[in-house]
Amino acid sequence: MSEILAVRNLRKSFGPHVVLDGIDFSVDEGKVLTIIGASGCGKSTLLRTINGLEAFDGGEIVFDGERLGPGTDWRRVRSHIGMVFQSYDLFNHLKVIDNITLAPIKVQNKRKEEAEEIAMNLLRRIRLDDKRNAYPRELSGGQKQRVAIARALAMQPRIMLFDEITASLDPEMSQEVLEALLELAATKMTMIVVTHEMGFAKAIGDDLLFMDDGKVVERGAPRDFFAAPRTQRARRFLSRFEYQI
Amino acid sequence: MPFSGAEILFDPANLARLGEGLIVTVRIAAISIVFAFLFGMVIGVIALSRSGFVQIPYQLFLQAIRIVPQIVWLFLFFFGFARLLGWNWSGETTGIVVFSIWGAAEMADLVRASISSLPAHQTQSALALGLARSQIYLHVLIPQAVRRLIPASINLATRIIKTTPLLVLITIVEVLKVGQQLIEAKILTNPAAAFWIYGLIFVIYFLICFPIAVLSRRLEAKWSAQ
Ligand SMILES: Nc1ncnc2c1ncn2[C@@H]1O[C@H](COP(=O)(O)OP(=O)(O)OP(=O)(O)O)[C@@H](O)[C@H]1O
Ligand SMILES: [Mg+2]
Repeated sequence: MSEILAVRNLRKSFGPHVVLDGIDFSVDEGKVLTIIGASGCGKSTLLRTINGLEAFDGGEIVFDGERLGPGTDWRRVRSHIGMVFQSYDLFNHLKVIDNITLAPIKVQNKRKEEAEEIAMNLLRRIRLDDKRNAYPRELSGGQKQRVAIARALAMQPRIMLFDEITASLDPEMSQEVLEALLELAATKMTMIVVTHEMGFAKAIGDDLLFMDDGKVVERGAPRDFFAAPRTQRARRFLSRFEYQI
Repeated sequence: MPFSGAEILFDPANLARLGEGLIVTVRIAAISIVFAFLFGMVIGVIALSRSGFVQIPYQLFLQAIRIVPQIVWLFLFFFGFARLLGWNWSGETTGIVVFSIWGAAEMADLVRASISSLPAHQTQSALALGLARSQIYLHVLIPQAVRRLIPASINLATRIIKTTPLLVLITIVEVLKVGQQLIEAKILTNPAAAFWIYGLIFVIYFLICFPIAVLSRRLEAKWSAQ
């Protein structure tokens, strides 16, 4: 199994505040890595350093054999790394189809017809092909997030980063988005999934990181982690979810 | 005889002169508005930079334009710079330059405010897709900002149109000046001339500005539906 992303001793501070305190992990091609941890522990910052939306202070990130850092051509790297955020971030002035084809046309210089064909295939996969001419405001939250996934996939990325993409959705809609992620994982897409849905974290990942206070505290198979967390911090974190029924 | 004197409006010679004045008004206003919008867009995007090299000149420019009345700018360019620097600008050129600069400053601030009020994650997700900064402005931010800008920029356009009578003071014979000349020529034989001529000019201004207002409301309705 070939390693597509490796993060070694990654460090990042905002002023005096250390947010990433020596993070280590790697992701193999076709695998899903799930990241969980309390609010503010640095999960979003970690994802954002991987595609250069946030600069890091120390350590290294190696993506597809290339060391990323200050001299990196981030535009090229980002076109290989898909990312979906928590907030609904479709381009509100563009129809669904144009949201999806914008980057393939402008970044990859694809012809419009070719980009639209790719987009329609993706829309059919998420069963939203009938919404091709809808504007984002005409979609439900769950539909918006599925279109945002399709928009990132249209660039044919090597890896997808998901940052709590169901956190603003009510449970029903969150379900349809999580199902879309499970279907994507089944196609052997390499993914890093930050989530606060423990049931989902248990179901989707090949590997799981539990972060606390800028550090990776536990790493292992999700089933083992949830059955028998090894650290006090993980046990305390998980116990918070037990009262949430 | 409440409608006596109205015949002044039916004299083709008078109407032709008013028409010529109107053409001058519309020409200066239209060219200024086009320049104001184009330069305003560019300056507004540049003004998003937080660097002092941008912010200090930008604020000086904006405040100078806002604090000093337009009439002073017109005089400064027409009488001041023209004599001092030997520019040989016609009144019309001066008018277009001053109104364009004024409009560009106001437009720039509208554009800057409108773009910076867009949610930050629009830029973030566009960056994450690999788009370049310039592409993000062109295809993501400016199109969304423009839709929000419509009401305020239409307001600015009508303000420019309504300020054209100041141009009389730098020797331009625009529609209001023609009206005055007609009234002065006719006032002895037709005491109601002022009422009819100014009344007609009132209607002319209304006919120019009203369609613009209607258009703006249409665009707003259309785009807010998205
Ligand atoms: N641009 C920034 N400037 C200063 N501090 C920041 C910035 N972005 C994040 N932080 C701080 O860094 C810490 C980690 O934030 P981050 O968003 O990565 O956490 P998170 O694990 O994603 O949390 P959540 O689960 O709430 O999304 C937080 O304390 C946050 O306040
Ligand atoms: Mg986060």
